[in-house]
Amino acid sequence: MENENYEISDYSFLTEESVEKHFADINILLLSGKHIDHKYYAEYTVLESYESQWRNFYSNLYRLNLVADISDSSRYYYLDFTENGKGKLSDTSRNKELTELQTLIGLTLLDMYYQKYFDEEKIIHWNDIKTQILESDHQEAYKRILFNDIRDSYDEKEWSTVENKFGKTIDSFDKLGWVEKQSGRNEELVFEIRPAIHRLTKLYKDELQNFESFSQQLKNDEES
Amino acid sequence: MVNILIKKELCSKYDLLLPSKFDGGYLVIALYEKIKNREIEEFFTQKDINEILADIKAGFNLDTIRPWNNIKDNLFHYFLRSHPDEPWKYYLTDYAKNVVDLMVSKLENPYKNHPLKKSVQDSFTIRHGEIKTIEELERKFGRIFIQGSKKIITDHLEALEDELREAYKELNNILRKEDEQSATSLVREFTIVFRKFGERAEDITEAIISKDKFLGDLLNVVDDFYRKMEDDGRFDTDNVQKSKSDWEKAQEIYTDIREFFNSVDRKVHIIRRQINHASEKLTELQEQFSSRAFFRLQIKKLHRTVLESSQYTPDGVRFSSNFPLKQVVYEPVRMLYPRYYEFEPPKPNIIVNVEVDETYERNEKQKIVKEINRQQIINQWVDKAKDILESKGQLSIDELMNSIIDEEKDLSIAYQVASSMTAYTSENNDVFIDVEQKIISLSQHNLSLWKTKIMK
Repeated sequence: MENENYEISDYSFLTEESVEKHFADINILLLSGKHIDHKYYAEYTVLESYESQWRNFYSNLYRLNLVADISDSSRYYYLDFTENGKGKLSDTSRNKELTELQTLIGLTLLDMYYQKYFDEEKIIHWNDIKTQILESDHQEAYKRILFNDIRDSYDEKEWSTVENKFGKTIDSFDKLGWVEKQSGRNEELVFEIRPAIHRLTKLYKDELQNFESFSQQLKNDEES
Repeated sequence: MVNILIKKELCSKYDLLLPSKFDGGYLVIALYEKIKNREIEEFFTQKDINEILADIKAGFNLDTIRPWNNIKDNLFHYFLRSHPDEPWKYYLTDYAKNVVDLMVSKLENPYKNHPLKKSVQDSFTIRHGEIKTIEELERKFGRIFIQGSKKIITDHLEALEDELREAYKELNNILRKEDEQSATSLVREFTIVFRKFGERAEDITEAIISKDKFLGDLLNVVDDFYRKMEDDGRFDTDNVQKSKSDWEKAQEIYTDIREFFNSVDRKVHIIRRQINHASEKLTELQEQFSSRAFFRLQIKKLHRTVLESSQYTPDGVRFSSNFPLKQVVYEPVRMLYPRYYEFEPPKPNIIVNVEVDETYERNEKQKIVKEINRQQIINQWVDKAKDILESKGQLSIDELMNSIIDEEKDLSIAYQVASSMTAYTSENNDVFIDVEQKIISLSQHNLSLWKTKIMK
C-alpha cells in the first residue's frame, strides 16, 4: 500500500494496467462532478489503490482537491475546489452552481435519507415524495412552493408538473452520484438515495457550523 | 375475454364478500365478538341486531345508521343465514367467521409468539425408522399432504416480515423525534424495539439448522429406497419395477420439499440481512448518539430554513432571502468531431506599423506646395500673355520669356509658359504663329530660340 505521507511527484501510476484501463472513465466522471462510491466498483477500486497518486495528479494538473469522504459508513471520492479558489476550473463554464430547485430538493432528500435510516437501501418511490408533500410536517411549505396553492388534493396535470420538476432534478443528481435512478424514461420515478447526498452538508459546512448567526443573517436581510 | 368475465364476476361480488363498515361490516365483527364472549346466543335475534346497530351509531357519533332492513339483503348472500327451524333467529356463516378470523390474525399474528424453529420442527421431522414404505412417505410428505405444513411456514415468515417492517418504521420514527427527547430515553426505546430483532435472528438460525437436519434425514430415506432398488435388481428382479417407481416417487417428494425450502432460504436471507443492517445501525447510533443527533438536528433546521426561503415559480423555485447557492466541479469532457478540416495552415496577416518620418513629410509637403505655386504662376503668366495677345494683337515669345525670367527668376516657368502659348496657337484657328529663322539668345541664360511671334 502507498505511504500517504510520501509526496509522489511523478505520474508513472498512469501506466499501470488498471489505471490505463479506467483512466478515461474516472477522469471524465470526476471532472463532471460525479461522486464515485463502491457502486462504481471498478473505478472506485482503481481510485482507492492509487489514492495518493490521484490526489497529487489532480492537485498539480488541475489545482483541484480529490476528496475521499465517508458518510454513513460509505466511502466516496469527488473533486472539490481548493481553499484558495476554483483551480483550473475557475472559468464559469467549468463549474456549476446548484439551482434553487436543486438545493431545495437536495436538502429534502437528505432529510428523507434519515426517514429511512434503518433501511439498508434508501429506495424512494414517487409515492414517498407525494406523501412527503401531502402529509409531512412541512406539507404547507411544500404545497406553497410546488403548487403555489394550499389544498388537500391536486389534479393529475398539477402533479405531472411537479413530478417533472423532481424528475429533472433527480436526473442531475444521478449524474452527480447523489442518487441512483432506477426507473427508466416515462416510468414512475424510483431511485435510491446514496450516502454521497451528504456532500450537501459539506457545501453548507459554514452555515451549519454557525447556524444561529446564519439564520439571523437571513432574517435581517429579509427585513432590510 | 374469459379473464374479463371472471374479473367482472369478482367485482360484482366484491362488496358482498366484504361489506363496507356501516353496511354490515362492523355489525358482523360485533356479532362475532359478542358470540365469542357469550354475550349473545349463537343463534341471535333481530333484537340483538338492533341493539348492536344502536351501539355502533352511538360509538361512532353518527346521526343516522342504515337500518337492518336495508343491509340484510346484502348480508344474506354470504354472512348470515336464518335458522331452518326457527326462521326468526339468525346465525353467522363459517365464511363470516373466517373473514373475521383472518382480520384478527393479520392484526395479532398467531405466529408472533411462536418460534419459527418450532413450526419447522413440528411439521418437518422424521423419526428414526418412522418411514418404511413409499405410502408412509407420501402420506407424511407428499405434495398434497404437506400443503398445510408449508403454509404454516410461509405464514410464519410473512408474519416475521410484517413484524420487522413495523419495527423499522418504529425505529425510523423514533429517530425522527430525536430532537424532542433526551438521548438516553431514545436509546432505551430503540433497545426495546430492537430486542425483537435479536430474538428473531436467533430463532431463524435455529430454524435453518433444524431444516437442514430434516433435509439430511429425508435424503437418507430416499437413499434407502435407492438401495432397495439396487438390492431388488440383484436378488428380486420381479420387484425391481415397483422399487424403481418407489425410488422415483421418493425423489420427487424430496425435490418438491427442497425447492420449497430454497424459497424459504431466500426469504430468510433477506430477513437476516435486514436484521444485520439494522443492528449495525443501532450500534453506530449508540456509539455516536449525541454528535449524530446534533448533526441530524442541524440538517433538519437547514431543511426548514430552505423551505421558508423558497417561493413558487412556474419553472422551479426562487429564494426570497439570501439563502446561498453552492458550486460543484463541472467540466464535462466534450468530444468534437469537425466534419471538414482545413489541412493548409492559414497564412498570418501581418500589419507593420511604420513610424512617421516627419522631416520627409515636411519636405514632400513643401515640394507639393511649391509645385502648386509654380502651376499657379504659370497659369497667371499664360493668362497675362493671352491678354497681351488680345490687346496688342501680337506677342513676341522671346520678350515674354525674358520678362518672366526677370520677374520669376525661373527659366522653367518661362519655358512652360512659352510652350503653353505655342500649344494655344494650334488649338485656336484664329491665332497664328510666325517663326522667323533667326536665333535669339536670351540674356543671362543658356537658351536660344527662333524668333517667334504669335498674332491674332
